[in-house]
Amino acid sequence: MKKHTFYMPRLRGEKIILLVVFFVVILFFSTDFGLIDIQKTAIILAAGIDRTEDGLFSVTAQIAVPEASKSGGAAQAIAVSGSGETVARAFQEINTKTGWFPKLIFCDLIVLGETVTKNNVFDCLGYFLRNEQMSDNCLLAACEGSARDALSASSPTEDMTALALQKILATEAKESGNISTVNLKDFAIGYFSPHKSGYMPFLYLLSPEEGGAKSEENAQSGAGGQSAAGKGKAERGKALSAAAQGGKDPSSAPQKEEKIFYGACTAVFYDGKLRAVLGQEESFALNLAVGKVRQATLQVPLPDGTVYALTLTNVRAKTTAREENGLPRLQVRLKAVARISDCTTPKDIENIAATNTVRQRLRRGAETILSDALATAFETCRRENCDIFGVADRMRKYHTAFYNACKDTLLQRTAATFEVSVKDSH
Amino acid sequence: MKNDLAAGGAAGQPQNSSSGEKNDKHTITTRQLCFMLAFFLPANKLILLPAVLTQYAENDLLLSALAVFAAQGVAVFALLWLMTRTDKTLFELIAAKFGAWAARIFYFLFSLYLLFSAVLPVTEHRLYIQNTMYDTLPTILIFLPFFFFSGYAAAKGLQCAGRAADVSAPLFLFSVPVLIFMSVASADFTQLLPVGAAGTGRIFSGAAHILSWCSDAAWLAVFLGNVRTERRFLLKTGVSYACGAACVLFFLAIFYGIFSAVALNESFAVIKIARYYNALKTLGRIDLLFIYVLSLVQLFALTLPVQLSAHTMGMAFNADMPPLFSAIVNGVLLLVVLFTSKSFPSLEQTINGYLFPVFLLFGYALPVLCPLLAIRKNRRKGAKKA
Repeated sequence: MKKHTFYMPRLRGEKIILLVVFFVVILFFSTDFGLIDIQKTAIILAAGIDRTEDGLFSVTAQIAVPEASKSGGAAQAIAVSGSGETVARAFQEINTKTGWFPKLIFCDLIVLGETVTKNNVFDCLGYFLRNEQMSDNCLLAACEGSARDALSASSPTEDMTALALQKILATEAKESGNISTVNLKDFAIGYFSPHKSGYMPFLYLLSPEEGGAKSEENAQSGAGGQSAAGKGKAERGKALSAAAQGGKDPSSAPQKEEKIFYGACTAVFYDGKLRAVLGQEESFALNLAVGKVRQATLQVPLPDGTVYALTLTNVRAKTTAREENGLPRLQVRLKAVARISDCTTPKDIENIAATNTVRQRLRRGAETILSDALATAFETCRRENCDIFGVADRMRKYHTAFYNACKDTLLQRTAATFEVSVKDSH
Repeated sequence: MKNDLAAGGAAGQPQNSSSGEKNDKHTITTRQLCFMLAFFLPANKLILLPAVLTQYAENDLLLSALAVFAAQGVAVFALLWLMTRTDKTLFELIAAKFGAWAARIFYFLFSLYLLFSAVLPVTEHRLYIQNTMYDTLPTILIFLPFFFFSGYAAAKGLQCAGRAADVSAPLFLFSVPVLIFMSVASADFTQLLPVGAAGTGRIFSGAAHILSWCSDAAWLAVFLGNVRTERRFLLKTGVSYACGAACVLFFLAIFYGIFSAVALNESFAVIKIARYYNALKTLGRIDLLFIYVLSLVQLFALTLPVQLSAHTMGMAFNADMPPLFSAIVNGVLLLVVLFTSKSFPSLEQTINGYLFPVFLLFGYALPVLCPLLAIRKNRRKGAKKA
């Protein structure tokens, strides 16, 4: 009878070592195989920071709850608060109270409450800069009132407030000139630069009815920056209580009033403190001058009461700073191509069809609005010592000797000119 | 045909490098050497070096780096030139000049230096992996697999390093250009202005603090006599070195252009520069794919000084037992990594702040002096003839 022998393939020692090496290299790059115990991890989508009356930080974290609700809806988010002398301690308190380990890797938004912006905001932002796991690409915004209210509000546009806010502050919004979007890194660069200045969107929390009125009010203001002081509502509740406002089936929770966020205004900072809030027109002009705006809409009222909406494309801004007769001079040149996108009075069909023909007085009107808004924004910022047009930065780079000679009074002595040129594509 | 300037008996040839014909186990090709210079050279300079350099040289970090690469270029060129002039290894050259024992002692010291030069990059890499690829603080043991890898490579001779360079080339070309493409649009190169603002002192201080990362000429010395030189060897290798240096300089420019005033806080540069790429908001962190690929190249580059240390130690003891020396070198390195796991800043400060003359000696002075081992002999011969 034939004997069947099973031969094990013999591996040479070298091959075994190679296999072991291959295996351990996989382990090396596995990042623990990316396993997250979802039951014990809080995926933080946004963080809101306030200061309590005791001077503690109150951190409100909007946490994604990845399980489907009983009603079969989409993933929900809840807002949980914790407080402490430092932001790290506040996060630790959230961990202690909920048992969830806060994971900031998905945190794409930080909202600063009014109580925080009265002091140097880097006493709390430092935590996020030190955190290696968190991206400093996250968006920043200041808000009227408390950040906790903002993150706890219910938005009509998104189930999760954090996502609604991120939509408002998205880069796309920046490219339309409506929002002064900024991320943590860029804001920190401004703060740690010699001019110590920066800006971020300023959010108002409004009911849907208030939203239209606010937009109208700001559009018509154009009267310059509003004082930051005393603009907010009183901080509600004691943040120290750190109440978790969710975790239950949303269907059983009482319906919260829906709020919309209005973020067309810009908070300007010097030395980490909020110094002024620019209105919508100044913010818009500022975004055209310092941002990368691709397409924007500007309303131009004419003396006869007709209001035209112009779409601005090919927006090109060039900002230069130089020494002129012993004085620093800032020059902002803004060029754009306009076409008519709307009008408040009915027009004949030939007029509607000629969108590319923009009459001279309309173009002059647009130029005046933008240059006035830029001048107002500059004056407001100069009054508060906020160098958001980057005068000091430019002088330091290109006219170093002059900058070194007069860096302390540079902004105050700067003469600024704003040249806006709006053309039509006809 | 090489003009062997250092002709003469090489007394005390070690067993693992017979005098007549070169041991193929330790021979690499010109292509592999070029790949090492172009891809190994920049690989591990993209992690901590940019932030450390910014700390000292601020916006003039490019000037510091340029000074270091220029000085290192002289050392590299001296060795490359010597490779075209002689087939002898450094050991043979020293043995011919000063005797076998002197060569052994020198190789032992050189072996210790190579091991020492591996300490900072390996601990740096451990920190990098631990902090960036893991969400929560992992155990120190996650880095142990590196020593299996390194131990295997160090036991296989110099040819293994050449093959690693072959493998690294496509990986590097697949990852680094993409990372640079993703990040270059976010960089504002005017942040590098005004040139020279940091002052000469800070620029040279920055240069001194990165010597530990930029002492690549030292490992080139071990390859002396172990490279199959081809036509236009100097041109090919010189261009490769220039490419490697240019890659680092461009990376530094992008890094400072992106982070400027906060650059010194951005410790693990390579994992951070691409994350401002607009498409990542939609696609997710696809840049991590390229960073993982680059990590493989960095691993190969990390093992190189360990391999060379084991090799030179074997030469010093005149023993053909690569696994034993690999085990010794990797064991010592493992212990150092374990003991310094909680004190990286002190380690970094000690090596870069106080021990940089060691790198200056072995990574710069020694390679520049190497051609003298050959030239002096020739002159003496010429004098005798006259």
